Amino acid sequence: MRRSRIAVLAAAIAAVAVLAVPAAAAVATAEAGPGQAMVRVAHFSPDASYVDVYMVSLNRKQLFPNVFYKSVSSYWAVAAGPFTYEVRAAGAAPESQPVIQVKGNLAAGSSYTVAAVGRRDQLQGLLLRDDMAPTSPGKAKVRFLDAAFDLPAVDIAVAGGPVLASRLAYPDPTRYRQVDSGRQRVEVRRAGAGAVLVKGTVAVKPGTVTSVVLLGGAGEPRELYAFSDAAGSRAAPAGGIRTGAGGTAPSSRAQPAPVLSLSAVLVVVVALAADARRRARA
Amino acid sequence: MPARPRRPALAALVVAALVVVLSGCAEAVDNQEHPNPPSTTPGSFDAPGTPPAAPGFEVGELPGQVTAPGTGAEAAPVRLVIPAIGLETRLVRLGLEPDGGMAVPEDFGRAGWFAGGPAPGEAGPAVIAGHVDSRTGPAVFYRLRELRPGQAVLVERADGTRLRFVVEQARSYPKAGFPTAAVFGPVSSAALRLITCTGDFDRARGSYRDNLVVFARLAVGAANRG
Repeated sequence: MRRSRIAVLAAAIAAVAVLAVPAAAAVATAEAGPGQAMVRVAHFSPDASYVDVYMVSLNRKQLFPNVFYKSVSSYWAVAAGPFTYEVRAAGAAPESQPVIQVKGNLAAGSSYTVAAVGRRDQLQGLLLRDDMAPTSPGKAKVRFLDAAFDLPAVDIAVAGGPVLASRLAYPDPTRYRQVDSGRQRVEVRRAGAGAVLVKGTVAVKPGTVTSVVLLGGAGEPRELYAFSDAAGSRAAPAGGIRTGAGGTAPSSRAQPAPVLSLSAVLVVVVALAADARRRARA
Repeated sequence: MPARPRRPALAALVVAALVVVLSGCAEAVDNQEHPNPPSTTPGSFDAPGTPPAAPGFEVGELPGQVTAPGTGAEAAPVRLVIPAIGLETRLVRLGLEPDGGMAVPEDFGRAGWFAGGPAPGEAGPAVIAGHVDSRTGPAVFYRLRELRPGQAVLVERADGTRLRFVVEQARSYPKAGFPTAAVFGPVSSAALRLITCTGDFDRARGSYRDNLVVFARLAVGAANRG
């Protein structure tokens, strides 16, 4: 009887513990551990102002209520492998049909952005792989994402300078490309050297990785919105770091023992000889 | 044998108790947090909604919004304190040597910050290096090998603020295959790497064969005056 009471008590404690799982927010992490991928959430649909975002990975089921337009979270780590991203209108029942559902497979060690784009009645989900590889020394990396569902294809170029993205159309991202660091005036033009649709400024430090999204429509202002993906060193050193002079290293792995024993033998031999001489005299 | 007939009864009792406990708790939670039945709510894009009841889901806010890139630089680090190993040192600035390798502190008693990378507290991998030993004995990072995950690393900056980092892991790498991208390459938020030497000492080359790298991340809300 006593054992059964303990069992019931244990079951009750276990049940309460299960139900009392705290509403844990994702903790931002700088880098993925083994078997992990990094994810973050972005919301670029101008007229779906508030949405609930569901993120299901192998080790976590997470719900982020009331994510609003222009939100870009920081990254956090989840288990690599199968992954589902769903979006529902704010407060909608979790059993209801999602307005966005994207299934994918997260690769270990990679970083991803999941983004909602489009007009509220034609939302789309994007699962973007973010390139965290180092830049060339002194350079920065930039990619563009066209979230302007109401515009035709565009070219994006430095004002009076090189074209950074050509014939970019909703809802496509460009690849990352290396650019000079610093502050640059950037123009969005109708594709094929057409009229300038938007002007903006992109400022990037050397060693950094940046995404720039073309936003707006449905009453929200047209703009180029830049957000940081990652930052590295301006110029990484070559090879290992020379931080030791050997003063605490064992003298060497093979030599110390024979050297010691040799001197020990010498000491013993000398001592024995002296002793023998003393005895001989006595 | 005599204990056997009692088991089903015990199991039934436990199950019954569990059902009572579970249903009781579930009702209590529902009554408190969801006064309106959630299952029929269609939701709205135009206004924030009551977070829906989604059993099995962790519910929370998105982790910190990122700042716009290219915003102002952080103050330079001037001092490193690691209470767990009784370490306190002023920091010198380090650059690159003519051969492309990283410069190291001339003073064996001081660590140095690699100024070719992000400052501690800035997004990206801030790097602080120090010697494990001089020619005659232990140097500033001799006890770095004792650091364990969860321990605190404090960085004081020129503007008087102090940052707290938390050790995530420590790893050794052969210098011949040093993982430059993993240590100096892009990361998404503020990180810190503490580097010294470890492994066998190669007397012919006058250098250790391996590097010890301690990876740490910025603790949330870690900047304060003092």
